[in-house]
Amino acid sequence: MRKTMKQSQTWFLETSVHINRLFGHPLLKWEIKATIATQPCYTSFFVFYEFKRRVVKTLINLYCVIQEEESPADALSYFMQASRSIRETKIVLGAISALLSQDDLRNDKRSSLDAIEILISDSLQDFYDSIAGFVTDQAKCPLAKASIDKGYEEFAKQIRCEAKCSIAQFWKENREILESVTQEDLTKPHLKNRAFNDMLPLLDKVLEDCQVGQTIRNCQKLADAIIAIEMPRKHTMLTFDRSFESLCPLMDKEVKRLPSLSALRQQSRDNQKQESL
Amino acid sequence: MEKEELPVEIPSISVLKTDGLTSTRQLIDTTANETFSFSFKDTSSDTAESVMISPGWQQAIDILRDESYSMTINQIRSRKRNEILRQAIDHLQHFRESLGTPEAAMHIHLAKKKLEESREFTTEEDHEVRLALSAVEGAIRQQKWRNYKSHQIAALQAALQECIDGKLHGLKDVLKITSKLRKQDIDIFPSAPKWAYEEDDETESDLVP
Repeated sequence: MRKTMKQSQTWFLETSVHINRLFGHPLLKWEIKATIATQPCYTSFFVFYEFKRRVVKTLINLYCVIQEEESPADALSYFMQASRSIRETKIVLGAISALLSQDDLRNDKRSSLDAIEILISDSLQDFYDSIAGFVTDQAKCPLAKASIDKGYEEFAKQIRCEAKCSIAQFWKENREILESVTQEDLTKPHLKNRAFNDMLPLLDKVLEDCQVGQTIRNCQKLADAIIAIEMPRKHTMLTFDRSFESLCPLMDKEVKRLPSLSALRQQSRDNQKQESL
Repeated sequence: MEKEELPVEIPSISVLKTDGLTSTRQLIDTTANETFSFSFKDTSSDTAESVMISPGWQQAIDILRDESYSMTINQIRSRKRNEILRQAIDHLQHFRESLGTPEAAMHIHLAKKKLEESREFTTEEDHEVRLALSAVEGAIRQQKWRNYKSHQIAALQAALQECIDGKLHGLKDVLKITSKLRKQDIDIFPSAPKWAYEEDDETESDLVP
């Protein structure tokens, strides 16, 4: 396992980094910016798909709810209760709730819609601006092509997964990597990593039958593994997710997990203490 | 900053109740061959008058000959908006010049007020301008006034100037503005509060015991 980081890195930005870079807590935004400042960044189309599903789709849904509800505040309160939000979606919603609680937007429907509309378009633009390019698209997820160019309704149709893709073929082609990731003696040191451990039984099943990987639910569960497989060896994965701390080393790839918000806050407090001393 | 005055004094404002008509030209076209009635109201004196126009619309022409009425409502609106945006740019200029002093807070506050005011003079048709203004407002919201740097304020001024100059013809033009803001380290995206991470932080040491 390679533990030392190279002096000069080419970063591979994983979905959680893209999301926090835009909507994260200011401390996290700053940390990401400082980390990637001088090095080229790449990403994959599969990450782009995840970004669209978690950020763009969430914002579009909220946009539509605001249109129908009395006020932005009502829309947000409904949306927060109704959506079964996973971690990253919660971050986006948290940021938008902070935005909509501003005095000038609280009850102004049109201004709120404008604010969200520009965020939808600019989040996609910013995604492109932040990267030097995409790595080879092996997963060939058709949902990654979802576009808002023909309107939000069309985007909603395009981002809906129907498992009509070639992901089973992807697993077949990467069988060798799957074998090393699931090999018992190699995985033993990683069994304490819950995020990885939860995925392991499913990886075993996919190894037996690649079609198991081609269902809507399983594909989402295996997303981190797909992302790790697609990342070229010469790149370093930049992420907030613990699962990659097992997946990448098992694939002989480098990874850097960024500190959590609580760790950064502690760090910031320590720095302040030192300064006052 | 060059000031552009409204061409004439428009009594604030003589509203032509034209039932969906958006321009005086359309009014003339519509009334050319039919009997048509409309009313107008002078809000300065709060009096209303109804006029019946018969084919030939001579009376309408008499009214519309006045330069003030020959402007479309949209033109008046956009001129007023531009005037307000120019004032916002001026406030940003004062903000820029007073950076590092307590006075700066007042100028950014006034600039924000002007941006808010400008919204009253935008309609559905000013889609691109509205989005660009929203981005500028987002940028101002995101950064504390005392952390602004001179080049960042200049970028905000340039963005507003593009709204005034009528250079925004599509979403791509708006996104060019947001890209320029980003290049000056100006963030238009809101930030998640701490509570959005609470669960995350609990599972930070997410190791199976």
